Amino acid sequence: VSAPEAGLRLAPSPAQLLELCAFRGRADALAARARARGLNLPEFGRSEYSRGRLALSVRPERWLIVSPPGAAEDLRELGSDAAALVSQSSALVLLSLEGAAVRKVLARGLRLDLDPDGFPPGYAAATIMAQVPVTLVRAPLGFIVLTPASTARHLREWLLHAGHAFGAESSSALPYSTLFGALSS
Amino acid sequence: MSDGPVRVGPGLLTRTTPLRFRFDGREYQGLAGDTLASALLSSGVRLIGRSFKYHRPRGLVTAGPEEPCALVELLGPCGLEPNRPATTLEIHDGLQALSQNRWPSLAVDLRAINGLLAPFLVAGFYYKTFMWPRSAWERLYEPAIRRAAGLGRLVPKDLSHAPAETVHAHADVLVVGSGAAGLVAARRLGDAGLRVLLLEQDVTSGGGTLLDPAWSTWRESQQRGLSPSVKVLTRTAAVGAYGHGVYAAFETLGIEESAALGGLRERLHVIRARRLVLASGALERHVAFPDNDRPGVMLAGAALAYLRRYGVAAGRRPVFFVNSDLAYEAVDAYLAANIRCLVVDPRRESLAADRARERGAEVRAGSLVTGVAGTRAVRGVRVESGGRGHWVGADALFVSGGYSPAIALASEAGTSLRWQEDICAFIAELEPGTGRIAGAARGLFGMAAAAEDGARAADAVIAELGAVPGAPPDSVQPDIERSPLTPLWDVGQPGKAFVDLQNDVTTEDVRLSAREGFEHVEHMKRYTTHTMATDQGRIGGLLGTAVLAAARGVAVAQVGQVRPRPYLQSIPFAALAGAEVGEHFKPKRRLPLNDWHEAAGATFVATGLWLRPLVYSREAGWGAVLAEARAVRSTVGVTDVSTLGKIDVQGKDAARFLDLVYANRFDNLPVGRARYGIMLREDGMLFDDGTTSRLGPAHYLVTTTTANSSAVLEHLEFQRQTVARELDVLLTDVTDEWAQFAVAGPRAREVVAAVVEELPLAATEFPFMAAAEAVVAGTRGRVFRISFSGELAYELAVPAREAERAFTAILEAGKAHGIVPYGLDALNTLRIEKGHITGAELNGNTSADDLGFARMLKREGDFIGKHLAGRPGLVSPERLQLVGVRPLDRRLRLRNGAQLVAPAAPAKSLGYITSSTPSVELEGWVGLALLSAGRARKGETLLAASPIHGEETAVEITSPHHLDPENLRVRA
Repeated sequence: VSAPEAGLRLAPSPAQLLELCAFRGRADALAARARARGLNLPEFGRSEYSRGRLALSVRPERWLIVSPPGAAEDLRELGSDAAALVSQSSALVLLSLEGAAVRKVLARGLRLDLDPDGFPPGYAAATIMAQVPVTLVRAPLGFIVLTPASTARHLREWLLHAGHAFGAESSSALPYSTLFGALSS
Repeated sequence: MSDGPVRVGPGLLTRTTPLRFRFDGREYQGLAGDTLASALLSSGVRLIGRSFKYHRPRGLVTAGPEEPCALVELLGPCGLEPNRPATTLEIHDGLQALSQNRWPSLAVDLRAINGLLAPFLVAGFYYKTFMWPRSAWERLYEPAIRRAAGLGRLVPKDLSHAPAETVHAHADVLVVGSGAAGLVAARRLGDAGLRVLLLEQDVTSGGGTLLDPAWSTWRESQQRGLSPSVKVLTRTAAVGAYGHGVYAAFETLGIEESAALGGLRERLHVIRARRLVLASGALERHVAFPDNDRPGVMLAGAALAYLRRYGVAAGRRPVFFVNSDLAYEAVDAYLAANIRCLVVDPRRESLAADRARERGAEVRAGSLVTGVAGTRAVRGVRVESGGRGHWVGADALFVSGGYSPAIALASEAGTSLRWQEDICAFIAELEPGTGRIAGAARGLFGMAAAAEDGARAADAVIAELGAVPGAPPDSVQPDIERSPLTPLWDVGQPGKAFVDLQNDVTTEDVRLSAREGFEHVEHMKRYTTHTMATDQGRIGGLLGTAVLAAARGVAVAQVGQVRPRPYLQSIPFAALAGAEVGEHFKPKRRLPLNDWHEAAGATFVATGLWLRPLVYSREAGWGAVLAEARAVRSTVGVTDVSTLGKIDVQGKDAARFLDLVYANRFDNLPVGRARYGIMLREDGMLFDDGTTSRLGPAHYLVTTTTANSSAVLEHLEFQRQTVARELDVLLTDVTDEWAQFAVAGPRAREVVAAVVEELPLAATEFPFMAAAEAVVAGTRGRVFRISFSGELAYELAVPAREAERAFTAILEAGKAHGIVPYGLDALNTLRIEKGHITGAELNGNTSADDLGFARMLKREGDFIGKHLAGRPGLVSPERLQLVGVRPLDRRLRLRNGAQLVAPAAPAKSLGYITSSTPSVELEGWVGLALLSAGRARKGETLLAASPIHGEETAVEITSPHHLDPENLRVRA
């Protein structure tokens, strides 16, 4: 449990990550197949949360599906001729960021305009922070950051350093349902 | 009346508690809100620094960041920092500043002898004089000149925390300057609901209105009325414009904020805005007359600022030398403080002169100042009218040569400049899509004019951005009527008249430049160093232009101004580095097993961004390395190869794509097999190598070298999206997804068999270069039978999260065979013995043929680099080719970088040693080398010369494959 005055709470959260990469001209077929299984694939630059799963798209015709650890691997069947399925569960680390100063801290490393009018909950983007790649998702309670595992410690230390003056601290992870609750429709 | 500056009132300072600070070790007092400049001035200090070249005594010339002379060293918690303008340095209790550029002391500077040598120290002097002997330049002349010249000292002390940070900011409109124009613009833009960032370099917003009591009520009402969507950043100067709406601003934190943020002092803002409103005001210009640099010679606007803002009269018997009605504001202020004023005005008549006379000033119309008496302080001023001159007693000379719009930022944003005769200055206009210029920055002088212009600029931007304007702006009192100014540049008297006070450039230097053919203003700049100092010629830049124009006999407009570049004021490197210092200078990539390696006692080495275990020992020397390598040759070892780049390639055209990017074939690679591949650059040189495995009919896994992994991924993605757009293939970087361990040595099969399920490993069933998916240590993984060490070897891949479980299982299974983990050094020893290449050979300058891969280039079909690989230069038999080397005397060592020469012609390099190591298999050292026509030289004896070690070692040229050339071990 973190102190209430922390300006930034930073928590690595375990997740199962699967990238769906549509083959040439097969994006619509993939989306239809996913829809039939209750998974909506959002448009580019957006994320969508439903049934405990977050789907986001920051590369054309590619979707990253974030599931809680231990979730059934029922998405494997989406592949076949429509998409390449690549596991990224170990490749990316998921960090949840929240707190009163979260935007101030992110502004020390992110070039993106995080004004809620321009980047409201549900928006997603791929960019660079502290010299490493990040995928950023705006959640109602804060931000989700996905970053390569090999530089995740660097990014975490950088965030705590940049957020030091605002009371940044590591904390336990919020459940996805809390973090994304308001995103589901 | 006595002489010298003195505090005559509170100015705008509200607190009267004295603050104590030190300048050159002596204690002084100032008030909260004082700058170092105003505080020193209030204590009667006029001599603040020595000039750059002639070491002339210098004082305060301005009251802002444009200050050319009063630069000091600041002694702070981070150490000693140079070149802080005293005019912007806020004082606090305990501040310690030092004058700079003087030796041994400010009052007595022995290098002032340069002043007497001045006739010889003309522009270009150093380059003309210290030409020979050439060798003396680096050793003798340059260090001596640097010591004497220098501009302050940087002596870092505490580097434990970064003194600066970078922050990204976004706005609809960036407003630069918060004078009348900027304030009105920001208010109107905010009222229209736009997000506004208002930058003010001063500690408080208000700009010129701060110096005019008649505007204080209006200013406060504007400041109060700013909508919440307007963010005001004070102490923040716009310092660069980069196009596409990107700007840089530099903020100096106030004492309280700095203390609250643990000593953070500076902040670089990177701002992205849809529009710019440039309301940066105008800068007063200096005038060229002999000794126009003496302490006490100050710009009239600065004298006004010290008096109205800080209550400090910079002189008690001042002479004003001005050419415009605007400058009479200072005269009025001094008269109001009951100080007698003598005004020298080159104009015959003006409204301002009439008004000043009515208030009791003496105005000498049609006159010029042609000299200054006094060295360390002004003692008198020579006034000349109608060809007759005389000296008048004075303790200060306040000068104004007119005002130039501060449009450096507009120039950077890419606008051209236009001469405006009535203000004798250049003005600019921004592209509408970039923004607007408003107020004095557009040559509209006077508060009312600025306020109206600010509203106009804001309304234009509001309309363009589709916002709805708020209520019309408050009405303002009109500006008083003014007479036109007269151009006033160089009074043309003999003597040292400076156009650039910081770099000690005189009118004569500029004329010499023109005489020697450096007539273009940019050439003159480089010839004389005019405007090249940290103040970038803010107050004298146009003056230099005017002197150059006179020397060339053309109009000032025709000569133009030197082009400003970022940054518009000097910025410490620390501010540019921001938080990316020390540990955070660059990211570190850590292996999934980083902590295990560390606990196992590994010494790490940085290869690119990766931290890799070099050897599992903290001791230097070859002992531990060779023990690890020997274990691999004799029994079994395991090493972490997770840093290899891994690219997942899928799609029905995957094979066609690989055949395009690789020089050898992959379409005929069976599923379940791996193949070594080489990739060329488009210019035909070798780019990268690695094994590619076929996991399915339309699924390959490409591995790249650690060093090139990002470059290869970018290259492949580029080719996919441009050259191979019609192919159905997808690339995904899975480098971080998979941990991979090489288990190598004669006992490798037993170890792997104990860890892997569902996979028969017999040589017939899983031969060399086989690849398969399998359960590894209880998790879904992959097994590749590939070898970099030259031994029987398998690489086991598991999802990185399972790395520790798999690695521990391998060690457990290998215990009975004496398995050891081995590091990068042992890996290197093994591969050099085997003749495998790494970055030392695959160095960007080698071709496939150079490294013995010519036979791998496919004959049929196209591939990247095919055609240029056939260039005559790349197929010459004289090229450097990969060979092996061994010292004839087995006791001698080899050295990387040693040059290979023939004993008969030791001055001609035939090649060099790329990699070398003590061998565990053979006696003594073995190495790889790139040698001209090397393959034909096998058996020859050459010398490996390393002059810096004083070594010449006889070596025999061999095959690069020092052991097992038939590849029997890897196939075992």
